[in-house]
Amino acid sequence: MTDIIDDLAGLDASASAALRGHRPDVVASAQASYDALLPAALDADPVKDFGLDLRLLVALRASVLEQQEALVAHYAARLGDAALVDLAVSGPDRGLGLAASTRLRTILRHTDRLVLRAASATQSDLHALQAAGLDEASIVVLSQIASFVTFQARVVHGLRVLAASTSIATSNGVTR
Amino acid sequence: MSESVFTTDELAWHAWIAPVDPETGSAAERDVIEASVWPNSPYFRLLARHPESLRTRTDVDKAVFLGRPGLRRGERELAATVVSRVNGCVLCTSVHSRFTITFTKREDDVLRLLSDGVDTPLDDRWRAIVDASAALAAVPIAFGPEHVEALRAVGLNEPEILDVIQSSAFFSWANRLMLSLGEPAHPDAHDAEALSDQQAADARARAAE
Repeated sequence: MTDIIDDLAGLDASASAALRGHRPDVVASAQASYDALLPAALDADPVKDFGLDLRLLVALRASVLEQQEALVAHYAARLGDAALVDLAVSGPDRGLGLAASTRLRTILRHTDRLVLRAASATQSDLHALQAAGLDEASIVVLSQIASFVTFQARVVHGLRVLAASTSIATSNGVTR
Repeated sequence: MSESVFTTDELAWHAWIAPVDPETGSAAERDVIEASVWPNSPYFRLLARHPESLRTRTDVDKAVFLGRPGLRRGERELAATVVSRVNGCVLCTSVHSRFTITFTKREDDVLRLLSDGVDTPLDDRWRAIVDASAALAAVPIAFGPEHVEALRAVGLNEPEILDVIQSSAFFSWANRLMLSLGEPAHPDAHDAEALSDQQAADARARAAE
């Protein structure tokens, strides 16, 4: 199994062992978190209402806001659907976002708030999500994905900086 | 000292949407609540709406902060405090500033970080850790080779630098959940059960340091 953070940071097995090997529990639990929130299929997931397309849309939007190219490429490739990829790049307030459904715009708006200005969140933001048809579990999944991607982005970015400073080779090639 | 909302006082947290009720929750929901850091907290009971991601999030938390050897626990808590301060998470800042003080005994420095912000004067080692953590908190991420150099210059090796990165990254995640799913509150009698976990965690930290 490919480790998603190694893949996104461009680390091969030996580079990963050199940089991350002292914390195997972090490697395993970070991968398990990715698998829990953004699995290949939702068969075993109790929150099917917040489907994979929506989950990947949120992950891609968060990656776009973080300006992390490897994450953007990865989540865009997983999402696939060109219109949804364009929507994630546009965001809620321009381009395709202006024509999107209230539900999608509300989801994107909340993703933007979580990534860029979480301290400005209020109860009315969650009420807006509920009004757009999201139940508590879907709101938790949306929130976990946007927040988790900010974690993933920082570990990937940090590993790339650390690898460059130790002359450990990284590759650029990351799609999925 | 300037006026600041940030405090080392114990705070409660109130959810904006309904948490899982442990009496009526599914077996999976109840299991992950019990395994979470604070089983009586409405925060973890709300995250239990999606059990598997709470379970794995708890595993990341423990692996990043409790794994040995590596950067001293108090300095991992310092990174958590700085990121929480930058992101404006009053509750996370209160919890992790208390841990930082317990493990490092540097109450004056921590209180200044809270009241004056992350640019308050510090010794070289804390300066390097605080600058790196604040750069990791920024969106877009501002962490670069200069931060690695500064951390090396004060004696951190690579595994310890990754501990700074991963402690900061984890709080980027945790702060956003806590900030967006509810709000801190001054505790009243209704919060006593929820706060018992925080109090037990503080007592364990004091006993361990």
